[in-house]
Amino acid sequence: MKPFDLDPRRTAPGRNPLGVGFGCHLSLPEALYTADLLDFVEITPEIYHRAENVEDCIRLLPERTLFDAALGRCGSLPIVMHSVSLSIGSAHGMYRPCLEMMDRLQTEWPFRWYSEHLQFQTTLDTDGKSTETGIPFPLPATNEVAELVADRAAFIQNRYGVPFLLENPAHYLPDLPADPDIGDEFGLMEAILLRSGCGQLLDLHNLYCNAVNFNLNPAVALSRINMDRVGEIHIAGGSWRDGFYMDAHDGRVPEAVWDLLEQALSSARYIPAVVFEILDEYLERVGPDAIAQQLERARNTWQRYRAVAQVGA
Amino acid sequence: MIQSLAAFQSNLGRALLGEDTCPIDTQSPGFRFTMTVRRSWCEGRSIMAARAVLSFMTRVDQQRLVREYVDHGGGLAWFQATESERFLAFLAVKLPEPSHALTICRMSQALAKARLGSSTVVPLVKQGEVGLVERGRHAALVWFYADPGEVMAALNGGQLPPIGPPSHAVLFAPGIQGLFRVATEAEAALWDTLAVANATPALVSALLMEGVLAHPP
Repeated sequence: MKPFDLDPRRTAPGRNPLGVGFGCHLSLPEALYTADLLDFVEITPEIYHRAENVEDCIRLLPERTLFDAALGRCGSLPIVMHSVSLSIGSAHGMYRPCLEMMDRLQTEWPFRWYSEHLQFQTTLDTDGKSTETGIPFPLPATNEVAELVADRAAFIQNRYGVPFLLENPAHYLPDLPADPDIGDEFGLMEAILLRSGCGQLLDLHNLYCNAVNFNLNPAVALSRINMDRVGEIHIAGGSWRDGFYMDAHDGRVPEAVWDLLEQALSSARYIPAVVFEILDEYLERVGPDAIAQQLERARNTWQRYRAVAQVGA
Repeated sequence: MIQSLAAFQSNLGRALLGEDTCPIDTQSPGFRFTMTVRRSWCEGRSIMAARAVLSFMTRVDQQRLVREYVDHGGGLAWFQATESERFLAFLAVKLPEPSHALTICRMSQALAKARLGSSTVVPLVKQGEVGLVERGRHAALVWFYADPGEVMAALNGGQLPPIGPPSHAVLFAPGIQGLFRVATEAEAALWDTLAVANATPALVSALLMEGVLAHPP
C-alpha cells in the first residue's frame, strides 16, 4: 500500500489549506473571483484549448483570447487542474494530447494538484484507430482495470510532482463486469488508490446519483469511501429525466447532498477542498446571487469542520 | 469468464456503431437511458459547433440536419473546434446554393482556417520578383449574396436580406488584421483565376503579405 497525504500540515510546509473553490466562468461577474468568496479556482483546461492537427499530430493549442482571459480572471487565486479528456481507463492508451497540454500548463499556469475522472471515452475501432464514444463510460471493477489505472495514475502523479486525484463517476449502467475480490465501483476505486498512492476526488453528487439510480442508501454508499484518501470534494445540482436522476450540474445543490457533505467532513481527518460545480449554460438561470450563496454555504460548512479538525489535531 | 478490458471496450465501441456486440444488456433501462443521454450530448455538441449557420435555418431544417449528422456518427468530438470542422464540412454539401446559411457556413470554415494559420504560419514573401504563387493554404474567399453587414446583422436578430447575385467578396487569411476584409474586384478576380500575369506585382505582393497567396512549397 502506497501512502497518500494531502494534509499541508505534513506534506507541504508553508502552504495554507485551500477551502472552497469554483470553476472559471468568464460570463460571471469578476467580483465572484475574489478571496472574500473563493479560496481557489478549479480549471478545466480543455475549455481554453482546441484540438488541431499540426503536421499529422493532434495537439491541444490554447485558444489564446480565452486562455488569457481566464488567466487574468483567476491568476491571483490558487489553481487546481481538473481535465476531462485523458480517458485514463482506455485499454489502448490515455489521450496523449491531454498529457502534453498538462506538461505545458505545469509551467504556464502552475497547479496545486491535478484530477481526472475514473472512466474511458475512447475505444479502438476495427482498423485499430482510436474513436470517441461520445459519452464517458464507467470501467469494469476488475483486477486488470485496477492495475492498469493504478500504474497510469502513479505515473501522472510522479510526472507532475503534485497529488493526482481520481473522480468517482456517475453512470446508469447496471451489472458491469466485476472480479469477486474487487466487487464494485467502490472496491475498484479503493484498489486503484491503494496500488497507486493517489487520492480520490469524491464527487458527492455523482455518489448520490448512483445511489438513487441503483437503489442504495446514499449515507451507506458514502460510508464505503476511504476518507483518508479524499483530497477534494465536488458538490453540484442535478435533475430527473425518464425516471433517472442525472448528474446535470444544472442548479443548486440538493439538501441530500449538503447532508452528505456534512457526513463526509465530519468523518474525515482532513479534506483540503470543496468545489461547487455548475455548467456554463445554467449560469444565467441560477444567477450570480444564488451561486454566491452556494459558495458561502460550502465555505461555512468546510470551515466549521476544519475548526473541529484543528482542535482535535 | 470476464472479458479483457480491451475486448469489453472494443465490443462496446462496435455496439455504439450498430453492431450486435454490446457487453452490457442493451434492454436494461440503464443502458437505454445511457444511449438517450449520449444522443442528447451528440446533438448538443453539434448545435454548439455550428450555432451561427443553424440560426439561418427553420427549426425543422435545423433538427433534420442535426439528426442526420448524428445518425451518421457526428457529434462525438470533445473539442468544439474539431466538431465545428466536421459539422460545417457536412453542412457545406447539404445546404442550398445560393443561400445565406451556406455563406455563413463557408465563412465559419474560412475563419477557422485563417485562425489556425495565424497561430502556425508566417506569410513568406520572396524578395524582388513575385515569382510563382498559389492560394494560401489558410486563406479563402467567400461570396455574399447580399451586403455582408446586413447578413451579419441578421445573426443578432436583424431582418435577413433577400438573396441577390454574388455581389460582395470577403477575403479570409491569417495575415489580415482581424483575419478578414472585403476583397476588391481585382483581388476577387485574381483569386478566381490566379491569372497572376494580368495582376500588378504590388497587388500580388500585398496579398502574399496577408497570406491570401503563397509561394508553392
